[in-house]
Amino acid sequence: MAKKKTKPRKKTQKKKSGSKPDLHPEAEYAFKTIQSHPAVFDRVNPPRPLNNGGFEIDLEMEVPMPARAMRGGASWTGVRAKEPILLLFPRTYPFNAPTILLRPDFNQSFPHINPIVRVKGQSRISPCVYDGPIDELLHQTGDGLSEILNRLVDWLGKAAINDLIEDSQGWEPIRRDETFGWVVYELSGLRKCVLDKSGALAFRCDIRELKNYDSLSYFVGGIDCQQPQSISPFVIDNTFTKRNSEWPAYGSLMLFVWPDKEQIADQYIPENVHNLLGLYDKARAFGCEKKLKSIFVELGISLKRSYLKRSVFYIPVILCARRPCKLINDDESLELIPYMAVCHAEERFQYGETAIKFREDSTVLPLGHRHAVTGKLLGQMSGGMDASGKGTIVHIGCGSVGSKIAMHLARAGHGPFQLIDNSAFSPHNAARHALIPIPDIPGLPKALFLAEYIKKLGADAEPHMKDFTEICQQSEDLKKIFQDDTRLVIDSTGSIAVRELLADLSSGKICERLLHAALYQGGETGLMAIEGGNQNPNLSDLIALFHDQRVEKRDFGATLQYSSDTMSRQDVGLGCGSHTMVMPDARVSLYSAAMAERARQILEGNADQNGELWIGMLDSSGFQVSWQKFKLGQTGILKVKVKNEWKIRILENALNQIEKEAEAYNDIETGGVLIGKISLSRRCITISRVIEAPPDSVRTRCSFVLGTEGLVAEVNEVRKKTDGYLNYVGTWHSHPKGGDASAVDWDCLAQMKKIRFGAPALGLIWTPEGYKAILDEGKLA
Amino acid sequence: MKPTITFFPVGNGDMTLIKLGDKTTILADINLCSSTDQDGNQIFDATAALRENLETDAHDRPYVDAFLLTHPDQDHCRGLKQHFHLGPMSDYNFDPPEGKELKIVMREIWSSPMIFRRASKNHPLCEDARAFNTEARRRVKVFRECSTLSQGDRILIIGKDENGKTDDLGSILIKVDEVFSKINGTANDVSIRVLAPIPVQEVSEEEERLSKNYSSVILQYTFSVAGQDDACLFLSGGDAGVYIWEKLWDRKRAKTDDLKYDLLLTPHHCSWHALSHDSWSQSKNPAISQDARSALSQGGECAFVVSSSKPIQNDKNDPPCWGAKQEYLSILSSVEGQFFCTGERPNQEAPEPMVFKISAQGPQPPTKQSTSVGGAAVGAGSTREPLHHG
Repeated sequence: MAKKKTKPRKKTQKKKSGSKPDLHPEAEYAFKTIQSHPAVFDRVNPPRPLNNGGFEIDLEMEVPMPARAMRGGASWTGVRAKEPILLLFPRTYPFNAPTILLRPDFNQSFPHINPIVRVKGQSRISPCVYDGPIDELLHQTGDGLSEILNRLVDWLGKAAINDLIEDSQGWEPIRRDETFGWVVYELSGLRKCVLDKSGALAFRCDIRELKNYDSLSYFVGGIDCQQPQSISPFVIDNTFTKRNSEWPAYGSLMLFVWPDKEQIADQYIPENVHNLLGLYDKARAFGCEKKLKSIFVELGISLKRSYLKRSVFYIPVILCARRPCKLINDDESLELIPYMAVCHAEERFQYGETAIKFREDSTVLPLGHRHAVTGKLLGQMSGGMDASGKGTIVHIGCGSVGSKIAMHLARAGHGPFQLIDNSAFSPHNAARHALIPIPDIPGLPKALFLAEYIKKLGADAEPHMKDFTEICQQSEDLKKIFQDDTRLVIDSTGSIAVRELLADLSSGKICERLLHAALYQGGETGLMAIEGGNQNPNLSDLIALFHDQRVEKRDFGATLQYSSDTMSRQDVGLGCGSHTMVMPDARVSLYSAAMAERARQILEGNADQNGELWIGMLDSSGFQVSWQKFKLGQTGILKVKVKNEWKIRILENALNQIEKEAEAYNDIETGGVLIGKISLSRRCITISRVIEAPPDSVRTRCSFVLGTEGLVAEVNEVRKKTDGYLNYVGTWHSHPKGGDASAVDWDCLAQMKKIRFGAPALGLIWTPEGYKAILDEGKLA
Repeated sequence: MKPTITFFPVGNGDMTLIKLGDKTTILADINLCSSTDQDGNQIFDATAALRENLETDAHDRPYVDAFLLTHPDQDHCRGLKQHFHLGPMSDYNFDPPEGKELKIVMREIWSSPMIFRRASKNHPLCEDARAFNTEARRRVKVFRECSTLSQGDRILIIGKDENGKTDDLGSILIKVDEVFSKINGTANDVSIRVLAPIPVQEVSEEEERLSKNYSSVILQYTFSVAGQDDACLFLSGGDAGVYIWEKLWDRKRAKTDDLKYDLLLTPHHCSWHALSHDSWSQSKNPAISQDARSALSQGGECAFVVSSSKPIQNDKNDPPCWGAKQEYLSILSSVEGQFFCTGERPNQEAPEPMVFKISAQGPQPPTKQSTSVGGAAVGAGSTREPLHHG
């Protein structure tokens, strides 16, 4: 890999006259390591100090020759059995690796060669011996320098038999992993501009310059491949301006040049361009020199006629080479090679000259390429699928948890988003949020704010600054938000109202999946509930299961005890408070990262038919969360019409309990007590568990009399452990021979009503044909 | 990719893997044991190394396109039953017992009934050899019944058997001096000349001598690379003894190209008995058979000779034999060739598979790599810190 060199135009440091630089303290050890390498010939010259504080060592390396090349001392590719090597060790060795240089006349037509290095006036080849940062290779093993020499002799051995690359892999683009900056452009967009006939185009661009000690780097962006510019004085005056930004950026024109269709560049030539003359040579090798020169002339004319009075112009140039086969990991054979030309105008103007001419020794630096931010790129970097265009995410709640989940998903390439939140970003929100407040713009709606950031990640995001409960009243809005391609709805509102609304809405099939995310007890516990396929089980079932687990699991049961301390009024301004939980941003992230990962998996196809309940618990360290998963199968659903229509939802576990009991007493009636949650607003009773009939119950062929022994205590225990979320909701009994509710059953319901103080009471009947139910609506009757 | 020939350090035994440009694999012999040093410490895991070098099919089964058994001694077929699938492909076990790996599929096998016949005259065959023989017979039976063969049933019979027993085998019989280039039913960039087994001799004494001379399949592989038809000649001679090389020279002295090589795998792990009728350890002046030496002297320019053996010491041991090595060095000196021993490279303490790449200019030996800091047996270079992300 190339080592970044100092600014090329800057003259190398001159050593002080008369003083001889000291030898680097590590030079002797490097020398010994090199001497001991089995592929290094015995005579290694001692290290020599360099003026920059580093040192150099030259040596000869034994390259294995194929049998029939042995006598000649060189293979047909020009690699010698004894290859001279120059190692340039930087001042920062052993933390940075040496630059490997081969002899000046080494065959250049190989792949895996870094940009050409100029040393003492000579162009030297630098082989790319490692597919990664060579500085890291130096430290990966205990003996990094030997490892680099191992790689070098391997590289030379492969070069000797032309085995550096497999032809079937495709064409290796010119090595330029480390360059003097990069250009962001959409590769496919620029390739589309290439016509069969040679041509050149100019595009507006923005350039930023970055200085690191004495080296300069250039970063080019803002290129719209669909908007080529005609070059004119007017365009120059409007383009070559300073951009308004905290970091200085300058406008310029980027030139893109390509050759005729017939011009195939089928020779590997390493990067060797240093100045404008070299750039013309390179363009000639690719077959587009004429076009490059003529567009520079065109630029020179317009610059001369413009109001711009400068002598140095920063012109990014992208040359196109047509390769004989597809590039590695690419479907195209067009290789685009970017440069930064720091063009100096000829100093000696002649009166009446109509164009600025650029000096041929103007510095030209190789630049890298970066893909623009797109869902495809982000998905690739996240190791996931190309998620773009795979379905919409409806995200309700853009607060701390929600913003973090949404940003994680957007960074993984997912989207588009429909973002719903009716509140504005308040300064105190900055303590826990994915975004940072903009001081000049108060009252920015969270949904809008988040949408702006998500759009910067290449995904579409439509903000809705409305209350979700209101949206649900507007069928037009609802239709607009929940489009046909909705893949996932995420509820991170922290609102019970929204949760209840979603539990009801989901029955109307609004999306493929719904994920509810919530934190409890100042981040001591986190909850993730994911509805099953076809919204069965739904969110209300999963929340009932969550509380049902509090009955069984002492560990998180205790932490969830309701406390008035957990949600408190925090002073966020004079006389103003916010009803919120107090916890640090990092703790929110501990949970939201896991939630986002599960959401990403679901979006990428990893979801089964069951519902999922994930309960995360923060341990005593304060930074470790362990998640427990509970699967929930399908819920049994009944509708009972009394005055109102009621839904009875029996969770998988309760269903199994009833079935098992009924089958055990297959010819006599049996029964038990139903525990669950009654929602008056939704007219829904969710049964999460069944208490077995007390021992004093009486089972006969035609009746079941529920006993009372220990029953009250058991029901109270459940109520206590769940803070009353789960409670007695009614009874069940079996009719093994089938049939509807009997007069006795109705009588029993009437008796229950007396002790229910207005709460509804359910009488559930198991029959071989299915469930039947009778219901007293209590105060709603 | 360039074709490669890999010699594994499996002690005094043979295990050679040929990988062609299209990744077709030919495995000649196996000795799947753990190489140990003098103190019994494992220094090389042959099974793991072999498996690492094999391709896997669409069902994740490791496979070789062709498996050749040059000679049915234990050091040429050790581990066959344990690591290779034997029997019809329909019986393949995709669910191996815990701790075991999926067995290796031999898409085609190359077997010589004549060699088995001669070997079994002198000593009982080992279990792995018997298993190979049973598999070969099964495949021949399938051929006789169906007349065509599919992957996993394919077989080539190398050399005619006695009394016309193989005369009906038509397309799967490759006779001595014939050249074939179809591997697992597909023509490839290698042509293979069958030099031995030497056909059955009419004089019973001669036949008896062949039986006692480690009769082996001897093949000359000619690789074609980048349009160069004879890019590399590789001669492999199994365990063949001196009498066989004399007979070969007798037959080929007027056609020495058939014995030519750029790369030679020394017969019988650099045994003296491939070159001499005398005992290395017991004779005072053991004599070289000039004919056998001539047969093994047809190395081309800068040829390479490989001994698949333990390290070769200057002692009375045979094989590997110090005297034989000196003789090969003498042969190589005339062509400026080089000698390699699998047990010595890169060092005796930690030998590694030796890979020769085949280029248009002949075979290229492996590069010299540093494996240690200051000569320690276990090199600092063998430990590598995982890369982390920041």
